[in-house]
Amino acid sequence: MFSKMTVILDPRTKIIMFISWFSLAFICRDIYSISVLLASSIIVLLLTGSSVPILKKMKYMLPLILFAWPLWTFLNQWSLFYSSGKGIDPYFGLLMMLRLLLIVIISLAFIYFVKPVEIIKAVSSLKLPSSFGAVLALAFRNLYIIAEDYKSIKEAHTSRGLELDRGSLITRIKNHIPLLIPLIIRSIDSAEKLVLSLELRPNIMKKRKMEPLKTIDIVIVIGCILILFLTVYYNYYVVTWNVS
Amino acid sequence: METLNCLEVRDLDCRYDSQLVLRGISFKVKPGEAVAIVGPSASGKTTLTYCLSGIIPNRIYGEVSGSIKINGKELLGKPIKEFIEYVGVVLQNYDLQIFGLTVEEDLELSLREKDEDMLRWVLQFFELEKYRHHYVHELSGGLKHRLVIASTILSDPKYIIMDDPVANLDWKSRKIVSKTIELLKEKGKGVIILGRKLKGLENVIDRTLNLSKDYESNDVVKNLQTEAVVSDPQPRTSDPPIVDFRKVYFRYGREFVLKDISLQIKKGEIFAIMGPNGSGKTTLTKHIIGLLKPTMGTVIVDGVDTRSRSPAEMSRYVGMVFQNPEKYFVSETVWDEVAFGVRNLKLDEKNVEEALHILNLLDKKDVSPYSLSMGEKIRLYIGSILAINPEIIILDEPTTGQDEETLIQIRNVVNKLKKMGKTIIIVTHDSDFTVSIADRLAILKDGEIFAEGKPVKLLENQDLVDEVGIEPLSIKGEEKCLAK
Repeated sequence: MFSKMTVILDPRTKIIMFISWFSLAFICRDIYSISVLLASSIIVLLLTGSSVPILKKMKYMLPLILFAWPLWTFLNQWSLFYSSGKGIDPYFGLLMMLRLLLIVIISLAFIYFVKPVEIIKAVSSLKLPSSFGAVLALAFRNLYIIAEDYKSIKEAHTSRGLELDRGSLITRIKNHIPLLIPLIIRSIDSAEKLVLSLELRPNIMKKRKMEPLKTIDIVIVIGCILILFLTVYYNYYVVTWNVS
Repeated sequence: METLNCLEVRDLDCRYDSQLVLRGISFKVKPGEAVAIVGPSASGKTTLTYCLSGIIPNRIYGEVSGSIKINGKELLGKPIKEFIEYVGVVLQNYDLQIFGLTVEEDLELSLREKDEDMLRWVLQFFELEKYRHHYVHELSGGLKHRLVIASTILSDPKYIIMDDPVANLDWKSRKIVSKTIELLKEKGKGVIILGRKLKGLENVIDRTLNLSKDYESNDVVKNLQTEAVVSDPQPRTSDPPIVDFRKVYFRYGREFVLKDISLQIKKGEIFAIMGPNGSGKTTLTKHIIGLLKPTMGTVIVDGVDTRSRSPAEMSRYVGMVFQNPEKYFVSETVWDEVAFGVRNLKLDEKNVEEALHILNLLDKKDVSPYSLSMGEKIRLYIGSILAINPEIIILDEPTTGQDEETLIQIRNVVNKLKKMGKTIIIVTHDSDFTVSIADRLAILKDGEIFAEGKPVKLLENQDLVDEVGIEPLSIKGEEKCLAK
């Protein structure tokens, strides 16, 4: 079941909220503002009751997130995008690790809170081409299908003696290879069929009338814009720490 | 003008490369009429569905000729969007027709605009009210199928095509489909139902057309005989049970899916499990193989508490043949596919040859698993389990959507396994199949064991069959038992 937040908020508000949230993760350029953003994100998840499922899913990403610290500490000078310009820089490594953590949390929250149908509705009401919304929603729906397929293939393989959760890290990675073959075949197949099913449902792509935004939506949209403006001001005019 | 107001197919041919799949198909469906098109596997039912909905040649390559006219408008060769102005389709692979994440969301997507009354009506009509806010992936196959039919009807097309609509459905759901067809006819919609057999829909179908299997040779159904079963080892009542459910409860989230299950299955018997969609059949079998562990109670399999073993370890005791086994193939050859479990458990590869020999697949050991027929694919998957040599083999809905030829193959394999002393557990909706093969039957309803005993005795009890909502027998059970 979806939490109350998904029911209360207008799809347009949710999309704007997530775009702002994502933008903030990139705008914040010092460890203090990114820490504040991370803490407030966790508070939001706690308040909406979504922290447990989201944090559960995060455990698979944790090694990658932790790996970001040494990577950016020692190798930041060769980065194409960001560099502290100081050579070995543990502070910068920490900043990038927290940023990655934040991006993962926001992505998982987006999947948790925004349903494919809401993307279609929001895109349609924002006067964007319906195919744009359909492609986004398709990609999104496919994520769930892949997750379901992964689960059923895993069950079928473990019941033929494939041990996935025991042994060294290398053994576990090696044992996951047989899962990939049917998963890739099924993903390609289901993506094609999903496109077809979208074509067969005539009303999905039709323009939809949406109700006007409620007060709570307006407050949140204004809040998002305000926070974005303040963060840009703080990071680009107050903080002088330079990230080239 | 009356003749214009219909769906008319004339001299329709369809071929994939050199293979002719449909030849000279001609029929008419008028508004308010339900036409069944019946044929064995590979007779071109799905191809015809694709042609009638414009999927062929728009999305799937196929050479099509002839004519498909709806209300006088020629549609052959036109894009899909012109077809769907008139036609709603329920595909055989209905799973991917669900677009919403929840039942309510998917139904809403089919409505032109939000209409709470219509939504409530459709939920009630298809008996989906209690699943309204459920995630789609939480639903059983049959409930998903019902949802797709409901969504298609909400789009309000003039003609509805259903490809094998009852294959996955329990008896209650078939009755709902029957009621739906009746309603559609009353509303002046034309309905085309394609299937292998359409048991449960006989009363609402106005005409039945037959599709033959092979257009080149007119070889409709191969003459297959069921192998005779000689001296089956009978389960001994004094032996301790090989599967023992002791007051088992299991829940997903807050809802209990299994409640107070106490069940014993004896070594060497063929045990069938039946029940309506969503009654907990698959959940129960997943407990035997250890994929699920009980919330309360204990499951003992071959003397081992399933809680103490991982599913991979349990595979030494229990093998499970999933529905649509080809979805799980990992190897390039039949031999490697059968060897998959053997290699995982580091067993002797001699078992592979023996399993292939038992299942008559040894001559196909070097071919690709995907090139086999459906019956052979099921046998292959059973072979990959048999090579591990577990005491118990579970078959999850092996009869779903299968033609007579494949059913005979499955029946032969099950009898062979029984002769080898294996314990076989079969989950099925097919009452005739159950009576023809099973020693004992448990009927589940709402996660509880509703009845348990001899299949003939239970399935001939009309009150019981009606109350649970399972398929009644087509012929008298005693005759089936004699066939067995």
